[in-house]
Amino acid sequence: MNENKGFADNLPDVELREQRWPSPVWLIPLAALLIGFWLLFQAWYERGPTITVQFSSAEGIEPGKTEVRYKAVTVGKVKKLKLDNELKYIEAIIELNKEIGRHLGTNASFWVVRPRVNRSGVSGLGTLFSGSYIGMDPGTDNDDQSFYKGAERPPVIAPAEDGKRFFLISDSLGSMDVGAPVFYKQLQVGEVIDYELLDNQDRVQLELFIRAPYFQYVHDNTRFWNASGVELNMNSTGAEFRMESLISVLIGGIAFETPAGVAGGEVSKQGDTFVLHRNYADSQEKQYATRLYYVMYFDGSVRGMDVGSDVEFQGLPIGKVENIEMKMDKDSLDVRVPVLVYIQPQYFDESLTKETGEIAMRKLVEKGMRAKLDTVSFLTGQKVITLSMETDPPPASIKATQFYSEFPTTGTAFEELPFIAADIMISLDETLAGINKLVNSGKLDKTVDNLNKVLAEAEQAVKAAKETLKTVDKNTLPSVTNDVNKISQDLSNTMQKIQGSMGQLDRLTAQNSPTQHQLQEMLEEVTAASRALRSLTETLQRQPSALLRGK
Amino acid sequence: MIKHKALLQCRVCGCLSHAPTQLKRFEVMHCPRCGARVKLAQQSTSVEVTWALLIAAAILYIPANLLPIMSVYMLGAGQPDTIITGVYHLLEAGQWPLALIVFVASIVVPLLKLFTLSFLLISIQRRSRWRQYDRMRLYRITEYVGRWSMVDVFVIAILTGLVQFGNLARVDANLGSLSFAAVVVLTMFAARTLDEHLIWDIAQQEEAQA
Repeated sequence: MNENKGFADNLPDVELREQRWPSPVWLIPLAALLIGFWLLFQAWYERGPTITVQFSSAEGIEPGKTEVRYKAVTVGKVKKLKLDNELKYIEAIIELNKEIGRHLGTNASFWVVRPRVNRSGVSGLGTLFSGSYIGMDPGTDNDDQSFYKGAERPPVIAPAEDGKRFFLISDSLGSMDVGAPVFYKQLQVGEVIDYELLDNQDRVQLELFIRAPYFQYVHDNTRFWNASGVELNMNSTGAEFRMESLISVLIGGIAFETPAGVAGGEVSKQGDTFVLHRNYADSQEKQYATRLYYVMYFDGSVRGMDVGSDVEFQGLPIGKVENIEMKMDKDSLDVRVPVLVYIQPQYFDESLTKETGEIAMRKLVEKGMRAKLDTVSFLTGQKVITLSMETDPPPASIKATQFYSEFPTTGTAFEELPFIAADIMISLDETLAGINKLVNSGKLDKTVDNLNKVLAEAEQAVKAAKETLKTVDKNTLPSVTNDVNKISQDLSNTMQKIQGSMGQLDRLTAQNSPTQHQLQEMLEEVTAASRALRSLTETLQRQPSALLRGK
Repeated sequence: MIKHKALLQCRVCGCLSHAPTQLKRFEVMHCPRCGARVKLAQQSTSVEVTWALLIAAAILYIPANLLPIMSVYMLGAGQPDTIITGVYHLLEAGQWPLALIVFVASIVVPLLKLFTLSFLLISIQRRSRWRQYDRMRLYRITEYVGRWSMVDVFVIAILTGLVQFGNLARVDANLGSLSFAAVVVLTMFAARTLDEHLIWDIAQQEEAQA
């Protein structure tokens, strides 16, 4: 190019060095490559399993947004939603984290958490702001699968919570719901987690979860009772008021107690079954799960006997009347009133089971046990069924029929007590008339001595009559009636007094009595209060935000 | 390669020196006085460095778009967004002008920069004489526009710094933003290191030979 020789000749030569390495600038793409690979590897390594969960509604689930959380930690995300082949369910395709994927079991459960107001309270309020999410419980076993069925509501108990499950048998569900609290000494220690109708026994089985460490207070002899609402008992000893907690008044609840004094039972095992008593008072009575059902036919009127009336043995309740019906034989026009009762043989011996109990009852009947109607109170005419050992009864046995076995009965004079009383009144009148005649006839003086004798005899007779009345039966009654014929004025006075007190009782329970009125008023107030409560829960159900913003 | 003794001037100390007529493999020239590296015009490393930066940028462009760049949480709800889901969310919200800006600034511009710089490099290496003036203009535009892609990164940085109200509202930067910033910076450097003189060099050389 430029050939300026003379000048250029004095210039030094350029220094030559060896450089085998390419320009260090290539380290930049190398680093980028490493970073890129690392990021991709990480993304691939962190990828957990993809599973499909079936829900009945996609409400609140948004693909790409809805998270899956376990113990409030995000462990996955819904990638896609699609309908299943029959358009019955939606299937959420969920990508889970690697770590939770490792612990996923076949018994894992999934549910949608959205704001919910129900009888057991308000749940998922946080999702009002954050949107719904899917809760999960990874389950216990470690075999994973790729298809799960989602639950419609969250489990009442948090996954992996420590506690025991028990079963309760009840006549009806009552106001119980899943989530209803279980109290021990007014402390909430558990919840009702499930219920089902026992198909063969016509009873309801509730499943309870009792948290650690409270489950150790459940013993074999522990009694559970329905603690819903307020219990007010008034009896001769005064008024007693029981209320488990305000929550239980609102949504129902179950309380339990292990009676002191009784030889404490074993700590119950998971899955043990108990009876759910109707109320606290009920729970204090002994009650056993085994029930033997019998049908009884009584000759006389069953007036004064209700469903729920006691079946007693020597004054102790051993069962209850379950049903009273009327049945007519279409051909013979023979109308009979079968009374269905149940007897709990464990009252006799706790070790009896259903089978051995039945055998024992059969043997007892062969030995002379009969059922009869007994009047508890002459005032109200309330009756119970008494099982008693008859001396020398006509032979009978428990007859098996189509549905229930028939228990032999024996008649009783007390069914006719009102008639006897009337008889006594008439006889008294006649006696008085006779005495009058005697006085008027002038034979009195002569007969005073006799009369004194008669009176003394009468007094004795009254005593005897009283004694006899307690144990009387049909056969001895006519003679009693004859004895009574000679009775003195004392008895008539007593009858009048009885009538007087009956009149007072009538007034107390009459239609417009103050007692009646006060009761009415109280009921109305309770109704008003419950109506206000219902409107509150309805408002909350419609717009849970009312909690925050007001109506 | 080098047929006659050329003169070289060191850019550091200004020392003039003779270049050898022939350069062996792996031999590089250094200034005899100060030891700084000296090059002939044909020996420019501009193309090599630009390629390196450009390839690095292209590699990082992948995670920059695949990984989330920013998470916005409002009232507890929110999720990490990649650039394209962010654009999608803006579109969903009816903010299509904003969506367009984000799309152009964050996806189109870096991509166009990668392509134009590659195109310029290839055309230089092929000693093309095709529309040199336009290519020059293209280079200038690329270099000028390049820095504006950094706006995204600044927005994320500022939001992350300002919006931290716990559960009420929160903005977090994610790994994607780092990759994206790297892409922008690398393409900016690549544009810088590309010697636009090379576009014309070929013409000069040919004119000189003619």
